[in-house]
Amino acid sequence: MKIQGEHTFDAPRELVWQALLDPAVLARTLPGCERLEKVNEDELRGVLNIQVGPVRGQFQGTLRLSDLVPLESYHMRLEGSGPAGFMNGEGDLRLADAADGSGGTVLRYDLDTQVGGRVAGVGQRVLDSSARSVTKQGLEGLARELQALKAAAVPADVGAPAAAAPPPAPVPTQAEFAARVAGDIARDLVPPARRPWLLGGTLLGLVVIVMLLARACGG
Amino acid sequence: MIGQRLKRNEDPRLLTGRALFVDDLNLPGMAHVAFLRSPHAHARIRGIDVSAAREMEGVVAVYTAADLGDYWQPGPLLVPPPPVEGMVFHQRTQVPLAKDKVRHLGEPVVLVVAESRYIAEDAVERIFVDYEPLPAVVDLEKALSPNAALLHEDVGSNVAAHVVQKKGDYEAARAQADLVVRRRFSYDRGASAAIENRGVVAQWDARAQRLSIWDTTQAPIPVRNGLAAMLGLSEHQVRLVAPFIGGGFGPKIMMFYPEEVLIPWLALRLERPVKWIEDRAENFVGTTQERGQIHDAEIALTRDGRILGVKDSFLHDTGAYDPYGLTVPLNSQCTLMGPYRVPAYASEFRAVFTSKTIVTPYRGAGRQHGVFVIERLMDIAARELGIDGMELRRRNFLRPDEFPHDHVIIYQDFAPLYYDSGNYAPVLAQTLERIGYERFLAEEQPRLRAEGKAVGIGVVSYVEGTGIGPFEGARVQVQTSGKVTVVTGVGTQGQGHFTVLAQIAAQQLGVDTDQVDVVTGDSDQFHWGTGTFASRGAVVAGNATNEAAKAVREKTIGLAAQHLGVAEDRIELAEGKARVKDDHGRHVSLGELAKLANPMRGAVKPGTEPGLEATRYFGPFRGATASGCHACILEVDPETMQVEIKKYVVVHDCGRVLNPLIVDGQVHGGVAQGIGNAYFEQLHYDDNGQLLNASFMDFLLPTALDVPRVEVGHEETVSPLNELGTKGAGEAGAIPVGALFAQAVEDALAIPGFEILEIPLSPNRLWELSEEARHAQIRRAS
Repeated sequence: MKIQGEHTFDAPRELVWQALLDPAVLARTLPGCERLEKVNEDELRGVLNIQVGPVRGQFQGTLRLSDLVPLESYHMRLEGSGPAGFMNGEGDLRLADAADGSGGTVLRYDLDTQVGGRVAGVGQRVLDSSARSVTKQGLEGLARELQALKAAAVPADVGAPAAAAPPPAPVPTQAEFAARVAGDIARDLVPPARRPWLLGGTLLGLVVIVMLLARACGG
Repeated sequence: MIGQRLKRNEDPRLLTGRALFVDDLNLPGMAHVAFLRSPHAHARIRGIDVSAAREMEGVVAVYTAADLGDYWQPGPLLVPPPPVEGMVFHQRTQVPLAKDKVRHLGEPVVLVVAESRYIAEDAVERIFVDYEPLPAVVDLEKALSPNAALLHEDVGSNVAAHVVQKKGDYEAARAQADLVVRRRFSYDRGASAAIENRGVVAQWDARAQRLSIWDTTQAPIPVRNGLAAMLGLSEHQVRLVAPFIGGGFGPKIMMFYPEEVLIPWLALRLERPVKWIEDRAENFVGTTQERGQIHDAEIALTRDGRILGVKDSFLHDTGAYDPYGLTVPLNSQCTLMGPYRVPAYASEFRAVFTSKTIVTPYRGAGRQHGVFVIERLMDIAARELGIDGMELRRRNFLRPDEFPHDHVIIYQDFAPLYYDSGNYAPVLAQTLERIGYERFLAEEQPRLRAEGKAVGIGVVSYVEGTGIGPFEGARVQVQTSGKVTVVTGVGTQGQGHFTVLAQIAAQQLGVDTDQVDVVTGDSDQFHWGTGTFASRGAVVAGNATNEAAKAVREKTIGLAAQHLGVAEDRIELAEGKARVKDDHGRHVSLGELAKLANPMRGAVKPGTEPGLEATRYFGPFRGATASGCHACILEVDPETMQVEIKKYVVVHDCGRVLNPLIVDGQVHGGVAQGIGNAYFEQLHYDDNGQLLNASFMDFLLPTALDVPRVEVGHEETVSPLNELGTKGAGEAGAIPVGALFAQAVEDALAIPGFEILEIPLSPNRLWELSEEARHAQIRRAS
């Protein structure tokens, strides 16, 4: 399965790059993320709780990053497995300035993925919807985090104490997360005009997020 | 009795929920098993960590391949390769638990025994297996390319077998042909989807030193014998019961599945009863499947439609292992000549290892493919020759005076393919009459087409090799109550054995059918037998029952003659009595005679046996070849490609019909499965060997709304190979449906040049194929 897509953040590239490499930010934005540990400079280990239709389970994943070009791109390889099956993915993440000159940043992801076991066999019919939903929620979460980071960066200009940490963006609970997935799947069944970035954002999108998260942890 | 449309003896028990199925067994102290199965199609096992599972409360034991010690052995080869000259066969049978690598999705890797299935399943989730994924082998042709990953490295390729069989000189035949039609046909996999999944319960009685096993197997005696040998027990220490089974269809044959081999071993080792019941998710990957083949076939004919020869080369997907030998591809090869006179036949196949679930026979067992190929070739040839398809068939049917017909090539029973008897033209005639062929083409189809409806008709012919050996046996006994018992070793999965075997015994002994109890599938009651497969139960066990009942009849008449003081030829058996033919007032009941045959004093004469009982065996010289035609009228919605079957007719010739109600039921069920195979059921594997529709949410079975009322007609061309004159009927309903669907859908859509060369279809696939044909037509026109 090929996972391709893009998302534009209303934030400068430095900030997006930084957020994508910040494990704490990613842990908060990645729906279902339970844990992330840095194994070494290039490798992270994480635990994700995933539900795809009737299949629910915990996936333990490893993320390896390579070919890092700061503010530009990196290559990643993810292996995750659990009782419900496995997900493997490999591909690139690239950042670019938004074409409209707004100062925003476009994140493009392009991955080859494999999903196997019960997730693939039983969850197939809602796999795309679930992955789109998770990707969407993850990217929305990331956008919220970026807004908070932006807000934190601004006070220096207005003379307010820079040390005041931005209020952390609210992290959805597991129940809210599941409800949103269900809602997205239901909407998928009667598809509106499909948002182009959603089309690409299957489960691999989720993998991408995990990778970003991992990179962030790797610092 | 024989030939009567009798309701089934077993149905009251089944319909009121009082029949025993394996999952009904709940024994004191019983432990439960769950399996960790491979999520990969092909991967090396680098390591397995079961420590967390072992520590869980309620877990009794956890086993990997390494923990099985000497018990870890590849399973037996169930059917050896056929005696065909130059044949290549690489035996690679399944293992109880994968050791170094997994070769298909769902292959068992770790076994957990726990106090409940719930705990066992939880424990499975705490096992960690470190897999190194290997490239999956999915596509049959890619599997044979030089750079394909190898399922069994030591074989050197993914070729499991290569068989060439020839009859006559095809090349010479082809040289004389006016027309040669050559096409590529493909047939994809489906699951048999029995309503009851597999299950095994085993109990070791240490005091009696006996092992009891309840198993959803179609072959209780071979499985008992095999398990006894594996476990180091005497055959008589093992009782194997195949109780009522909710559908066999082939995959429950004597497979020695990993679960089947491991549960009895656990019961012995743990000294407590152990149970495993397959869930539906396991069934989709762990129970054998069928049907993946690709054929490159051609037929050579004269201008007037006479078949000169047929040539076929095909690839057969055998899955990750080949424990069932070559039965399925041999059936394809040997069914492909159909009911036709084929003077020259050149057929070659390669069985291919793929990283998919093992392939073994499933209702039809390869015959579908043969029928699909020859019937499609006939349809295309008819079109190209400008001869009506039915007329082309008639011109090529073997005539009654050509039987027995020797087709020379070796069949699945390892004897030359031999059609015992047949009379095909009347079967086709009755079919055309019942479906209203002429009227439909002349009146209804033009009228409906004028209304804008895409309606079509299809009629196909087929033969089915049935009733093969080696043997079955039966013991018939008259009890002192006057009731009769028939005991046989075949298993029963809904075929109506309790009725048909009762009818046969009742006929010989002059009792009502409901006075005959039939016991099947309990090795303590009868310990010789082969199994229920190849549409052989009624033929082989039926004739064994007939022989045993005849012997009991002889004994009964002899004793009655003695008792009533008349000559034996004056005794008749009727109404549960032996009576004097011309003096019905002089009689003695069968129960009374049974008492007399088992005296408490005096002595049984030398050379005689006590009781009104006899055991007999029957083994046919060759299988009996049944035949038939299916016809249907259907309508295709051109927008949605949904197909609605308006009328469905089957005319079947299985020799002497023992019970038309039961044959009709077999045909109905087969047609339902055939419709599923033709238009609903397809196992979709992706390039990584993942099964993408492993649940009934996505693997569609036809429902009652999709299966039409099926009208069944019978012709009776008796088999000369057994006294009852009967042939098998179990698979006939399922075999030709793909070919029929293809013909009828082509006719309905009426797109010039549109040919359906693959099964299964689906609305999506039909849309794609018909659009391709339309575009090709436009390209040709422009």
